[in-house]
Parts: sequence; structure tokens; C-alpha cells
Amino acid sequence: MAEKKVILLLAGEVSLDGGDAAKKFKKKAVLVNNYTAGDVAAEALRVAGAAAVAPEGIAQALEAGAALCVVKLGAPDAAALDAALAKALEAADRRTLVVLAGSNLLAFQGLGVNTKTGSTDRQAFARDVVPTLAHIADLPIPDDTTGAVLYQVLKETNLKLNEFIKLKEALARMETALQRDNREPWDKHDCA
Amino acid sequence: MKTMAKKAAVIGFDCAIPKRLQALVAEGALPNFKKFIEDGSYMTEGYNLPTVTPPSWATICTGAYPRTHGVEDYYYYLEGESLEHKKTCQAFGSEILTAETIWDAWDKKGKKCIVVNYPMSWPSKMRNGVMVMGEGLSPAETRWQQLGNAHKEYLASESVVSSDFYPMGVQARFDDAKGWANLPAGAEEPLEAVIPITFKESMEPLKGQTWYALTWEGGDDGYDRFALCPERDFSKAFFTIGAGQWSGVVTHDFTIAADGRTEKGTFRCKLMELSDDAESFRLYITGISGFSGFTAPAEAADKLAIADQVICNDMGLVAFIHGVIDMDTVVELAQFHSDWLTAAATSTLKANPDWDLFYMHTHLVDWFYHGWLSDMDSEDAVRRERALDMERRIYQIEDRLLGNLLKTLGDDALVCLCSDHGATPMGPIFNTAEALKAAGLCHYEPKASENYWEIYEESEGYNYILDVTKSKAVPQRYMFVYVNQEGKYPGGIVKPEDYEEVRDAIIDALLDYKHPQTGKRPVLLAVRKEDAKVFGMGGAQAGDVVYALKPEYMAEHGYGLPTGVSGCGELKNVLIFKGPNVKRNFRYERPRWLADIVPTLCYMTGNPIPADAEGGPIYQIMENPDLNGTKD
Repeated sequence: MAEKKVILLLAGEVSLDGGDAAKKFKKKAVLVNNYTAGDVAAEALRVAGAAAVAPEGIAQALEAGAALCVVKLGAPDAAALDAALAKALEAADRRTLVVLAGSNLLAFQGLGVNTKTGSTDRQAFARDVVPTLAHIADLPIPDDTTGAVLYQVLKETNLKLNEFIKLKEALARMETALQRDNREPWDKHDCA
Repeated sequence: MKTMAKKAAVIGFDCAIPKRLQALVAEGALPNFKKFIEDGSYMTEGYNLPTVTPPSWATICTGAYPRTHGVEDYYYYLEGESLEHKKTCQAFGSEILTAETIWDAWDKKGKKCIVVNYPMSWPSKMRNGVMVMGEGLSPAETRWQQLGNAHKEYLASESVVSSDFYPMGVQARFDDAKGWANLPAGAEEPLEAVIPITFKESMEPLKGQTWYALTWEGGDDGYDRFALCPERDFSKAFFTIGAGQWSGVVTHDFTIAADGRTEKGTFRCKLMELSDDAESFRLYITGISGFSGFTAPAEAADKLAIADQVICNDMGLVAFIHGVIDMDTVVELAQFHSDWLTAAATSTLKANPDWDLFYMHTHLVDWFYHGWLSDMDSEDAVRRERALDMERRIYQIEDRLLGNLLKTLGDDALVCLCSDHGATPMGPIFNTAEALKAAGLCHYEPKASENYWEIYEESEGYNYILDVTKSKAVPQRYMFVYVNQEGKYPGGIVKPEDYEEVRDAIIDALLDYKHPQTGKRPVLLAVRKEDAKVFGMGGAQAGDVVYALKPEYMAEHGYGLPTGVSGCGELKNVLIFKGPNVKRNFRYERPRWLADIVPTLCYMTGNPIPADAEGGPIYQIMENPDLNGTKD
């Protein structure tokens, strides 16, 4: 199973005020209020490791190693959307990003997403969805990508920079440990 | 004779620097040291050579100089091994002593001696006394025959569990908690981290265990409660804490891998970090402190009041170096360490009220200076003040230990406070091999290693492997160069008839060498081994040439004479006596050597002098130095 995963739900006009799963999803999601919808599926499916699946197949696809599940819901009614979100949330663990891109709505929830802000007013387009989910989940972006990362949905603006800093710190700690184990008599000894 | 003290005690503070101690006393930070100095006699010029831990403590307990007691460096050369420095091991414990200790001499006369965490004491040879293992720097650890800085302890060393990578720890992360019993009431979306904990640096290796961390939201502001449990059952949690908090002392069972037996051990944890989404966390785990195996006689362990204590070997200095904990946490660990020592010492003293001699060592100040002495001289005011503040807090911990011990020792005891050496801040590095190579006396090749961490050695010019088969001279340990004699050492190439010529060439090379950074000579003196006997060295464990550096080179101690002063540091040692027949508020300003402690204690209590003692009683600090009554 990939460490970081994305479930991308694509739909027509939808509402998150319906069933329990939709409410649960919305509670910790960031809604992009100023969203211009368009085709997301084509670009998403060009991401290496992406798999097109039905809601029932999400868990299995993730288990099989898919890093991005693209789930086309068509024009679901409230019950169908809720059922799909329930499947997605059930399959998601703490390192899974769930994205819902409808013709009237864009929402991010889970991995790397701000759980407190609730929404953002920044302008966003369909072409921004793939770069954003790729940025969060360390996925390769297709060569023809033109969109931008929606930094305002992230749990911290410098999400990746902070990850790099942590990795550098870990490397420095490893170097320190190795150096300490390889000291020469003239090196500073610390009696510990 | 009423001027005779009935009991004697030595409390050793490793690496306490006289001028730093006096500065802190002068600002009123150390009431117990202040009173002790006022009530006793203070020696301003305490000397010993070499200025390093094992030989100095060996002198403090035998009254003999290193050439006699057989320990001349932090490291020990094992006969028959190649002369390469890396083949030498740490020099701790009683097995290597070639001079009798004061406690063995008194024990033979039926006296009861208590020895706690004294670096050169374990294993005990006493019949009447009680010993708490000292074979390293911390109680219940050994460093004897360990290479580099390795050590082993009862039961295991410190660790860390974190979402980040730490070389000394276990990496783990939180996922949804599944299959738990007795989850905390109201805990929504609790998360668990499975921790395959392993235990390191154990005297007897322990079996690993699986522990489970549980985190949940205590309120509605993110994950802020953290419990560590031995199984997926919150009712069995070791503790529940929040970020920045210490757990209480946990007592838990640990299994010895070799025979499957169970030993109880104590530890504490501090949650250094927990992010509100629980993605990032860091839990520091102290070493696991055992209850037995480190006392002589074994049953003395039953009287140690250490059930609520943790040893915290090296006060977390290694964890600090690894970036696991901060300076405040180091000070907290230093206090825990001191609490263990105080509890072990006072409970042993109380269980043996008929004690005659008490010897103890505490290492906090030395660990502190190895970590932060150079910061105390930093030009960065924030860095400097932070180090000075920490220094005060470390000495204050020792001050409280002193106060507690003095209460238990009583007023009728003759008490000596001492350190084994001082320390000086980091100066230019002197690479002895380079000076010898320049004179054609030793041969080394650059390391062919591609290991990226060795770029540091390369950039410093030290990235080489010394080839003993092509070297007439081999530098070893802190103050020695050996003539690599054929037939005597593996790979030796110098014929017997060339010995003196090579030795002279080594001395010339050391004295002629100018440091590339300073343009000046770093070597203060370089003499033949037999000449070093004048200052107490030059025994079987010494190299063929003994040299000392000027105090402004290297760090922190071990290379220079005790008269050395550099920056905020100095290399001489603390030496203070108090008790019956000791002059009060007296300053003695002539040099005295650590070898004088044992003869002074024996003379002033009328007890037998150990067989190999070489120092002399410090008559000048005595109200009545004429204890033999020759003036009567």
C-alpha cells in the first residue's frame, strides 16, 4: 500500500448537506468557495499510479497499491453521494487525502489539509486540483499540467518545505551519530 | 585523642572547576558549598596529572600517583595489542589498579567502608563494606574494556520514540486505534502508535517489547493527551501526559534474553512534542534503572531506597547531542540522576550507621562542561548566558546533594570535597600524528572511504588511517607517543638499538611543531617516559614519550598541566576539607596534589594508610597537626 494516497471523487452538482458521510466529510474539509469547474478526470488519470475505480473498489485498489483512486460518480443523488463518501472515508486512513470535485463544489479533506479553516475564498480552477493533490501526496504531475497548488487548503502553507526541513534535520542527526561513533583520539570527546 | 575524627568521607564532583565554583559561591547560588568552605580549609592549588577522570579518581582513592596505581589515561592500553589508539579501551574499575585503595586497607582492619558510584571501585574486594557499582561515570554502569565511548548499564540506556527519524530511537506513527480495551471516556477518534521498543547498552541484553501509544483529544483543540501502554488496554497505561510533561516513575518487568528471568526496572518519559493532528510527536524515554546486580554484597541492594528513582546515565547528554531533548530537560535529568545518587547514598549510610569511611563520586559537572563549556566563552551573548545559567543550575543540583549528604554524614565526620580535574574551552585541534608525519616518524594514508560523514575529517585534515607497519612512532591516547618496537608490538619496526634515537626524534618533532592555525608551538613539554615520573606519570601504562599541551589547545581536559588556564576554564581541581581538627575559613595557597587526600584522611582519623600511598598529610590545614603527640 502506498504511504500517501488520494481518493478523488468526481461528480456533477452535489451538496454536502445530505447524509451522515457527507456531514462527516464536511466537518474537517476545506471548501473552495470560488471554484470554476471543468474536466479534472483526464489529467488525474494521466498521473502515474492512478486507477479509475467504482466506490466499491476503492479499498481494494488502495490495497493493491494505487496511489490515486479516481472515482467518477456521474450525477449522483444525495444517497449515492453519501454512499460513495462513506466508502471513501472507510477506505481512507490517516495518510489519505479525499477530494470531492463537483460541477458546483470543490472540497479537500484528510492528509495535509487544514482541519480548522473550513473554507477558502481564493479563486480556483479545475486545473488546480491535480497539482494540489500531487503536492500533498507526493505524486508525479503530468507534463502538461498548468494549474497551481491551492496553498490555502493545506494545513500549513509551507507543507513541503517543512517536510524537507524535517528530513534534513533527521539526516543531520544521523550524521552526528555516525560521526560520534567514528571519532578519532584528537576529536572532542564528551565523556558520555 | 579528641582531635581525631571518627569517620571520614570524600564527596567527589567530577570536573568541578575551582574558579567557577568560587564565582557561583560568590553570587550566593551555592549555600552548602559556601558554608562548607567557611567551615573548612580551601586549597587554592589542587594538582593532578593527567587531568582526566580514571587516573585522578584512582589517585584520590589510593594516595598513589598514576605511575604507581597503573592508570595513566582515560583509555587503557592492553598488552600485546597493536599500538593504534582505537585498540585501547576505557580504563575503569578496580581490576586495573596496581595500588591498594583506602577502603581495602581500612576493610582489612575491620572498618566498614561505603563506596558509591566511584569510577575505580568495582568489583569490590571488601569483606565488611558496602559498594554501589562504580566502573564508569554513572552508577550501575561499566565502561571497563569498552571501546570508544561505549558503556553498558543496569538495565538499559535511554531511548526515543518519534514520528521523525532519530538514530538512537524507534520511529512510529499514529493510526486509528483498533482493538483497544477500556479507552478513555469521551475520547473521540483515538489514535494508536505501535512501538517495537528495543533496549540497548544493557549489562545483560533484554528482550524487546511491543508498547502502544494512545493519543486523543482531551478537549476540542486537537490531540493533546498521550498514554503509553504495555498492551492495547488503556486501564494498564504506564501514564497519561501532555506535551512538555514528564511521566511519573514507571516500574515494569523486563526479560533478560539469556535466561528468560524477569527484572524490575524503572523509567520515566517526557513528551517533548505532540502536534495537534498527532502527525508529529517525540517521546523521550530515560534509561531503564534496575534494582540489583550492582551492589556488593548483593543483599545491600535491599536497603537501597531507589524504588521511585531513575538513574539517567549521562543526564541525557547523548540524547541532547542527537537533538532529542533540550537543555531544560537535561537539567531535569541531572536532578533525577542526583536524586538517585542521593537516595542510594543516604539509604546505604542509614542502613549502616556504624560506617567508618564513605567515598562517592558524581559526574554531572563533567557532562555539563563537555557539552557547554565552550558556549560559556561564546561571543554570542544569548548562547553564553544560556550556558552560564545552565552551569548555575547544574552546580545547584550538586549543592543540594552536598547539603543532603552532609546532614546524613553528621558533624563528627572529616569530609573532603574534591574534583578530579578542571576543564578549558575548545581550542585549536592538535593532531599529534601530523607533527610526527612531518618529521617522517609515522605513516598514514588518506581514508579511501566514500562515507559521506567522513568529509568532516577530510576538511579538518584528519581523514587518514595510520599504518603501524610503516611508523616508527605511534601517538596513542591523550599524552603519549610510543616507539614502535620490533618484537614488542604487532607491526613494530624499530630495532632495540635505535630506540633512543627514535625517542629523541619524537621529542624534537613534538617540540619543533608549529600549529598551522596559530603559527605557535602547541606542545608545552615532551619528555622521556622515565622523566615523567617526576610529575607522577611514566609507569607501565605510559608511552615512551609523555607530552603535554598548552591549555589553549584542544578541549576540555586531559592534555595539559593542572596549572593551565584558558578562557573561563582552568585545569586544576577543587580540594576542600572540613571536620574535626580542620582549620575553619582557611585558605591554603601552596600546591597540593590529589595524592595527599588519602594520607590526610588516614592521618587525621588514625586509620591505616594503604600500602602504596605516596602523598602526604596536609598538616597546614590542621588545628593540631601533631597528632602523634611528639610535642606533648
